[in-house]
Amino acid sequence: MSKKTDVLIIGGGVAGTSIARELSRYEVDAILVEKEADVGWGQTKASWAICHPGARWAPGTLAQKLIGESHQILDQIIDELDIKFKRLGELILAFNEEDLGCLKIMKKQGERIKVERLEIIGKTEIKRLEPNANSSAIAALYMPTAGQFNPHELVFAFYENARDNGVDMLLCTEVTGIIPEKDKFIVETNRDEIQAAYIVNAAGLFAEEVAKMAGGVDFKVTHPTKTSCLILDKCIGDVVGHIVTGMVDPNKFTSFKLVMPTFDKNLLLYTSIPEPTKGINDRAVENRIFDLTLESARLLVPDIDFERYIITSFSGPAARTEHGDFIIKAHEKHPTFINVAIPPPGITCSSVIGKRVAEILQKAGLSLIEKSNFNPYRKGIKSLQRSSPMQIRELVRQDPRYGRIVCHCEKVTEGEIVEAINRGATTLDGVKFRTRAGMGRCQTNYCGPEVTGILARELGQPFDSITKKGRGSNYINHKGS
Amino acid sequence: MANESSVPVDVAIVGGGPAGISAGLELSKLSTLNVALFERDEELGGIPRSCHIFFGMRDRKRMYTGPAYARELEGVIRKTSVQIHTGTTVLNIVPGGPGEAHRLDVLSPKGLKSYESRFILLATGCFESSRQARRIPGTRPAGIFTTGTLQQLVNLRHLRPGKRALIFGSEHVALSSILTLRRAGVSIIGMVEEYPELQTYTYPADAMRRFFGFPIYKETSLRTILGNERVEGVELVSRKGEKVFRLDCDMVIITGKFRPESSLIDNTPIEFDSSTSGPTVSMDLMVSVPNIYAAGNVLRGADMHDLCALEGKIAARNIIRNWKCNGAGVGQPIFIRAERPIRYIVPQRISPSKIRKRLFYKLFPWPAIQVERTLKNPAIEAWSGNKKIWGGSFRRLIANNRYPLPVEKFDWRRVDSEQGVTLRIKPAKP
Repeated sequence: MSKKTDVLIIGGGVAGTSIARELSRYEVDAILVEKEADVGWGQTKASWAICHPGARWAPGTLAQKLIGESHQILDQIIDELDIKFKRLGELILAFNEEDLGCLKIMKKQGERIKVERLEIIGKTEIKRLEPNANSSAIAALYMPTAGQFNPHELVFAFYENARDNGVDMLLCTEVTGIIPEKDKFIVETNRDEIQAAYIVNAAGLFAEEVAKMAGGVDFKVTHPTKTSCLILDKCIGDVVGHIVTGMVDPNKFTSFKLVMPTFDKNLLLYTSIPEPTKGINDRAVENRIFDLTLESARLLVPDIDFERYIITSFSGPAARTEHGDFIIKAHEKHPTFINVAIPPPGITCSSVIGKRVAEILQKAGLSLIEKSNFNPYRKGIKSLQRSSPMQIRELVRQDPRYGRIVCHCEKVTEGEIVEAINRGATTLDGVKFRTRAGMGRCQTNYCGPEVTGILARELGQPFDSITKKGRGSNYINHKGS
Repeated sequence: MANESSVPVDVAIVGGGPAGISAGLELSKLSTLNVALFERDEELGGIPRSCHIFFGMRDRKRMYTGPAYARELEGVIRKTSVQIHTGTTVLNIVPGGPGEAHRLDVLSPKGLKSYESRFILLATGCFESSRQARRIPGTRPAGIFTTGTLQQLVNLRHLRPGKRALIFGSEHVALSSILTLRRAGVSIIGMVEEYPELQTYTYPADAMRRFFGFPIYKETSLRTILGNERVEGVELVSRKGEKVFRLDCDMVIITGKFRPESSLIDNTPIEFDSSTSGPTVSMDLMVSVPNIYAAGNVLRGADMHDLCALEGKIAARNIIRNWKCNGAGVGQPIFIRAERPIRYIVPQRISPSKIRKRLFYKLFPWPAIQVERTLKNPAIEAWSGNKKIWGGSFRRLIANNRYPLPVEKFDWRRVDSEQGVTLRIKPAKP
């Protein structure tokens, strides 16, 4: 069977879904394909969800330009998509004169794009703002406007809103080949064949591979480093109050260090491991990675026994482009094939990436006529944790399932889990990223069977067919080898 | 949280496992007390519900299976005047000021309610640390469970979660996971222990090894877990000779390293002991806030259910005593802490005037220590500042067991109450 569409978006990360949402404003047929069982499971999942003020990026780069644009519509996006957002402020620590020089350059860069209240602060002020920060830091660039999104929420918001406005979302659909024809592309997938007049390649780590399928590629997506992240228990989430980072080359992010409280008050330690990855699917957390991450966190915040508070750990290859800047441009051979490769700060700019792509598509000949019935609004899943007692009473009165807690570590109710499933979660991880069920101290060890049971019930499938993250990752291995 | 109208009770018990129920039974003997018990699960009984062996020996004086023990406890508590609220989660505790009642905000499908209670007993139990918290390297596939999850799947849901399992860790609970796996028809490909000694009794572990026919790899660590979707195998590395070898399996069971379920005290002034991850208590099991008590595994994961039950009973008696004499004054307690490899000492606050003779230590070892790993012939010393106030030795300390500390032999007169007491293990003689 073959499907026909105007625009095919390959990749359901924050870039792909943002493009889908932008296109859903117009009378355009669009399909989004994603190879995983849910959206946002590639580079998006691995992001810090920081909203950067932009001082790190050099003038003239596309990244810096888009950061500026995205800040202008930030409030509108937060309002329309019901996104949670918090202004934490960021401190970039400098440990020597060379670092301090970089801070001064960053301050200038930031001021040029009108980042407000940038300040280089000395030891006493660092001590006042972050008593636990390394006291051997000689100065810091303080960026009070740096913010933080609720991780995963942006991508789900774009996804749900685009879907509500008519974009066809095909999950578990992997592109296997692209045949360019005269006025269209024939796209082969593991499921249906799709004919599309325009293609937007937002395949993240795999963008180069996808571009090659259409023949010829004039950009590179590399994964020079593996990044790693440790999430620590909420009981030490207040060790720092700001995003505390070290110096980094924005083009490479090869030795980035970060300690910050997460949106939900855990502590996050992040580092990029300065050695090559073992391959594009290298997601193993090795023992050495634990040590390196803890060590780099201690450079920023010493004297804390981080290790005993670890609740989970992640690692994987980080996609970077050759020059470190965003790539949003037409394929060298096909003007109707747009390549999108987004290294950091992709999350920050996600709201305007879609617009940028739409403009390029329009130049390539796609006619964009605004839909009369476009609904820009999307509501988030109501959460017990974020509701007032009054709201909780009302929620439970309407649906008693909001009175039954399933994930006790994060206080997630059955009502929220069912709502997540109604919005498209089909796996344990899908429920987890939407509701936080299983993100707490015990890491699904208490609620795993229960959430699997609810998924099975709501989806009308047997218990043993429910997976952790799609494709053969069945929660229990009833059949199989 | 604002309250519409809060329900007054005398004692609120949080947790309907062995400790909570036993406390409820004891409290119900005083008919004037209005007692409420909250259990977040749909059924009473706690962890024994999903376990299956040797229950009830020391508290109910006969042997039960786990579910039968849970049913027995449920049966007796339902006959008392204690109000039971199952499927009900205590969201938070707001301690009241001096002389005031404490508030509990409680959620159930019936709605959000507040209770005002003069006494609270925390009996929330414990859970096993996750794989990540134990720094077990590798990918993140499906098929990595703790014993608790395994037992939920096998004993409550009657499912077979996999075919071939590797057991990581050798604490007492590992034996329980062996039986659960065999019961579900899963073959065991091995048990891995990082230390040279098993962390449980050698005899039953060895008997199971022979009976079910699986190897025990001592002094071996889990180098990595393999597989992207589902567990495909593990790589082990033995300390001796650094030999790396691969075993195929579709499940890894992470056992032990319990941690108290103490999230209720997270945002309260109740003092937290980072060595147990639970609240600190005095000798009468009161936490640092007056009239709030704690008993069972919330103090130190994990102990046998029957010891928890007895501890719940003792806490209940202390509550009754406190109730009758309206808050008896406690002398200035002395803080006692332990250094690694001693995992903890509970209670953490000792009142020297209250130390009695070794009456029922054998039955109920307390004040007691536990060690992080099994130690042979350790010598333990207690110091206050630079003064040694006690020294003694043990023949063998098994990781999971509690051992009584002869605090009555401590030279309490020399203790500096500012400095408190620190327990250390004296380095072994060469």
